[in-house]
Amino acid sequence: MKKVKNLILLSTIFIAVFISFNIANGQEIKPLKEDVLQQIFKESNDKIVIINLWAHWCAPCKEEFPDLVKFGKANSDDSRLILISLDEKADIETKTVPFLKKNNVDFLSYYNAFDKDEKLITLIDKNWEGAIPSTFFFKNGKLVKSLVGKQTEQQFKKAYDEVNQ
Amino acid sequence: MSKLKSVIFLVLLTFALTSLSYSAENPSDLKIGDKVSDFTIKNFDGNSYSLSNSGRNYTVIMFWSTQCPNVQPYTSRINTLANEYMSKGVSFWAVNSNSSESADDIKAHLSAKGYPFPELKDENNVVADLFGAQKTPEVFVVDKNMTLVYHGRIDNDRDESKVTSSDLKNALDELIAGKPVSKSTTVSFGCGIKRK
Repeated sequence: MKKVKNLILLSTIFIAVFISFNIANGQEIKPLKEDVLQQIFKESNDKIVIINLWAHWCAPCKEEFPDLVKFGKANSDDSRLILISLDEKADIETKTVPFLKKNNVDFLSYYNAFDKDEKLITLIDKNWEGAIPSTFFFKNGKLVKSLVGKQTEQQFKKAYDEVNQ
Repeated sequence: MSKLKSVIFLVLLTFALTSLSYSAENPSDLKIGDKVSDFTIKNFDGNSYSLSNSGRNYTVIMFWSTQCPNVQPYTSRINTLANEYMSKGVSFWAVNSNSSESADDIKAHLSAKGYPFPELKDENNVVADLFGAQKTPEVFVVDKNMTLVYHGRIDNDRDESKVTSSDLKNALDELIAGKPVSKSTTVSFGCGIKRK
């Protein structure tokens, strides 16, 4: 009986360590639906919310990623970077998570779990046509700037400074 | 009083600057009902393609890619659609505006996919700029009067088994029947066009 208890205790510790290790290494990724998106805006208070849509199969998305993460971390006091992957659910563990880890993403990120893509598109920006990469700046829950296509760290910062005046 | 005026001025200025910076990143592209400017592509296949000389009632311009994973699953669907509607007065042109994809890439792609329509190399993304195209796949339908009548997706899911709305097909059916297009603008995710 004591052996079983020890085994359970050890297993619990192992799972806890495994989970915390994964989170600490930027591997935490959650499905994004409408309620989650609304909660993000609600929780962000007066921080600027920066939403970036990307996918592991999108070459320009991957090219801008290191600059984007660097920019997001440098401005995390006043803003919150939300990365939304458009990868298929089957690719999340094998392709999306390793890419996030490789790029030192040590904060929670998301993957698209909307039933239909158009719902997410229209919720973010009804004028957006769905090209990725795209980055959107929200202030007090309202869209104030959008950048379509690959950007550099300087371009992200320039847009952010315009929004953060 | 002058303090109040300054505050009002600052508020208006901030509002104007914010609106300006946002709209500047979203150039107004073609809208449904707008006239489309003509263009001519001298293609690698030896032919010249001019929108004004397509000779059909409707021309479907599809911004296309040899690599984008959002384009690949459409091979069978678009071949079926094109074969059906080419005999109903519709021409289909795939336009490849990606600077990263060469004419040789397109030739190999055409041969592998068996498209019944031409795939045109849009050098310097002139045609993509003319339409304001942002991604692949992205479709524009132009009538014989050079008016834009449909803009958006082929259908609402890249996984054919999940499609619930065949938007391009529906638009073509309505146009051929002489009816207004009930859903003339649609959205979907796609690979951003890599411009020069």
